[in-house]
Formats: sequence, C-alpha cells, structure tokens
Amino acid sequence: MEISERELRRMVADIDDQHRAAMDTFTEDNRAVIFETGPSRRKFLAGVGAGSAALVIGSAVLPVGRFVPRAWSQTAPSDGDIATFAASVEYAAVAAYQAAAKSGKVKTKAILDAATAFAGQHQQHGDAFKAAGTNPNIAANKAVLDMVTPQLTAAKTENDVVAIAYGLENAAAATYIFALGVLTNEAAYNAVASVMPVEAQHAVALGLVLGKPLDEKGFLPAFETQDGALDPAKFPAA
Amino acid sequence: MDISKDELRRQLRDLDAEHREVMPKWRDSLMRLLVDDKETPTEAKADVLLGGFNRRRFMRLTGMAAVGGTVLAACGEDEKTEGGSASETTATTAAAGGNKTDQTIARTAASLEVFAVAVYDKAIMNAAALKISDPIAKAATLFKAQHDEHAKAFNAAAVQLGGQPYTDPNPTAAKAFEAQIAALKTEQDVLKFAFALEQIAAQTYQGVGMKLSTPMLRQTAMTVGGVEARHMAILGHFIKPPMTVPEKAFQPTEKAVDTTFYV
Repeated sequence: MEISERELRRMVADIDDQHRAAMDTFTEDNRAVIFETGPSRRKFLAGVGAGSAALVIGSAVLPVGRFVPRAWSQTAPSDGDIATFAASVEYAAVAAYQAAAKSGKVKTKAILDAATAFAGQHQQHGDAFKAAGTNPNIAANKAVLDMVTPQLTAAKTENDVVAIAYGLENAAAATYIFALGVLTNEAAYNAVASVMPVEAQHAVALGLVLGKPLDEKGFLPAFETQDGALDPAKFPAA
Repeated sequence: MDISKDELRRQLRDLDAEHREVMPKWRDSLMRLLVDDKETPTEAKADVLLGGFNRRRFMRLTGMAAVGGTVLAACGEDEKTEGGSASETTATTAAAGGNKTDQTIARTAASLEVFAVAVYDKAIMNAAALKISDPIAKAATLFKAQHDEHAKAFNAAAVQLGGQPYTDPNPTAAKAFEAQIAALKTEQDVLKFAFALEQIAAQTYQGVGMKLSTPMLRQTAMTVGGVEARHMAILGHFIKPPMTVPEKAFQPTEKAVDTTFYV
C-alpha cells in the first residue's frame, strides 16, 4: 500500500502539534528532575555519606541538592511564602540553641555566650521574616526540630553539639542563597540578603570552635552554594 | 508524488539507526554534565538544558573539554569549541540578558576583587616585616586566591552581559586607601584593614542587589558576598579583641561603595 504525500504531510503536522504541546510544559514538568543535581548521583547511590555530625543535617535535608525544592517546583511560592518558611527555620534555630544551652553539654563560657548571641539574632531574623510572610502565627519549624532534637540528645560532647549548630547555620545560609535566586520583592530581598551573611559568619564562628581547616568545603568555600539548603517539602513551614 | 511504503520504512530505519548511535553518547554527555561535573553551577547546567539547547553554549561549560569530542561526534559536525574556566562559568548563566547597569556592577565588582587581591598580595609579600603569623598568612593566601576567583567570575559575567572585563584594581579604592595601606605596620593593622575591606565588599554585593536586573544576578553577587562575610569572621577571630561574632543581626549596607567607585 502506498502513502500519499498529502497523507504523510498531515501525519507529520499532527506529530509536530503533539511535540509542541508537550514542549510547552517540558520545563515545568521536568524541573525537579533536571535540577536534581548536587553531590554526585553515583556516589549518593553508592551510599557515600558525609561522616561528620555537622553534615548530618545536610544529608537529611536535600539529599541531592535540589535547585528548586520539590514543593516549590509544582506551584511557584510567593515571596511571602518564602519569608514564612524562613521564619520557621529561624525560630527552629532559636529553639535549637536554647536546647543546646540547657543540655548541660556546652560548658565553655565563650561558646555559651556565642550561642546566646546567635539565638538572639535568629530570633530577630524570625521576627523580621514573619512580618514579611504570609502567616502571622508561624512558629518554629517542627520538622527541623524533630531532626535536631534527637541529635542533641545523642550528642556526647560539647563539640558534637557545636557541630549540629554548625550544620544548621550552613543549611540556613544555603537556603537563603537559593531564595535569593527567586525573590522579586525588594523588601524580601533585603531581608534575606541581610540575614544570609550573618548565618555564614555564625557558621564560621562555630567552625573555628570545631577546628575546621581553612580548606574544608563548606567552611570557607570560594562561593556560597545551595548545598544542603533546607527543602520546604521535607521541612514544611506549618 | 507518492512515496512508497518501502521507501518510507527504509528512511525511518536509517533515522532510527542514526538516533540509536547518537543516544548513548548524548546520555554519556548528560551524565558527565549533571553528575560528574562538579565545577559548573546548577544554574549553568539548567540553562543548557532548559534555556534552548545550543551546542555552542553546551561546549562553554566547565569540564566539558573531555566531553567535547563526544558531543561533536554525537552531533556529527566539526566545530571549534569555546573553552571555559571554572570561575567563568560561576556567573555566566546568571549574566545572560542583563543591561548596562548590570555590566557596570559586574565590572566594578571585578575591580574591587582585583584590589583585594593586590592588598592581600602586599601583606603576604611583607609578612616578615609585618610579623604576620603563619595561620594568618595561610588565611591571607587563601583569601587572595578566592578573591582572584571572584574577579574572574565577575569579569566573566561582565563579558556575558555584553561589557568588557576589568582587570585592574579599582582605581578609586586604590587612591582612597593608598595612605592607609602605606601606614600598615603590624599584624593587627593588617587584620583590621583587611576586615574593613571585606566588610565593604560584603555590604556592596548586598547593596547592589536591587540595582541588578534579575534575581539570578542578585544570587550570584551574594554567592560572593556571603564568602566575604566568612572572611570577615576569620579575620575578626584574629583581631584583638576578637570580632568573630557579628555585631548586628542584619548586615547593613552603609559601608557599600557608592557610584564613584564604578568603572
């Protein structure tokens, strides 16, 4: 049986229409998959872990360093949503520092003083983000606390506790780097951009306590990254 | 004109054979890009995949040199590749589609970084005379290298934005701080001056945020700004009395450079 040229043209045109319709949503449909980069996938599948307590947080959050957290890949979050999420993370950090201080495991006065100062700054961060967010009743991120609390309980030494805080600060900094790539509102940008450097400094202060070598990744990188950014899908704000 | 079914089958079979020959190489290239390439930032990879596949842009990514031949073979054509450096790709994707202000800010940032490189270089060269201890010398060496990477990244962005790179120290900064630099006599002098410089840089990259035209450019600036803040914390640790803990909960921008520093 032969196929006429006209029939062939019609079939090709139909295929082209289907292709164009699919490509219209290709980006959004595949964003989470395509952006699923970060640590080598092969290494991740092979179960190569991070090893240190500080990275326990990182390994429990965005396991493959999502560029766009899955929860946000489906419906675009507003700047207010991002601020609310940030507030919940900050309040969780406050609670974590308070729990660390109360645990009795941190005995060095300078470290306790720094923890108190950092908790106070995170409280201010949380209040600022809450004011810019969509939920005036936002509280500490329960999922972050559910992750950190057992770690604090299991911590045996002062350094174990400090390492948990170190990981949390780096996770916060990474989360805000991600957020800066999507925020459009000036007030939201100013809030996040003024907080991220402070979390980075908190991380360095704690890293110095831990004796981190200068060339350790995550301690003094050449560029801030989104590695270990907190995933709102795993750590919902409310 | 009619096409015989046999002829159509033969052409489809030829197409399928070519497709099957190319796909393993394409898959390998994607694996190298998405999994093995540690240097190219996610944004750059995303741009390649989602910003309209373009072989020239694909070849520009870091670490693709080894893949270059594979991709070229897969595409079946011979084309010169454009090599890219690690620092170049740090900012190039974010830089696509920017405007004149973006260019100026990128160039200015590069010039400030080059200035920082010069300052650290001077401290390192005069370490003995300034009695700079080993740990601080090590930090200075690291910071110098990182500022060099920052400069390259900002210049790459400037070029991507359609501007020209700027590879000299910022002239306004050089003039403004010339006397202070000449007066540095001790390790503490150097630490305090370097701290102030890092603070200026950190606040500048935060401060220019809303002057930049896209969130991606702002994010790129802050990937550097955050590191300058980390430098501050390290330097502050060595300053007497220590200044490791940030004074304020929110980093201000009062020390950001103004437009007189623009190049």
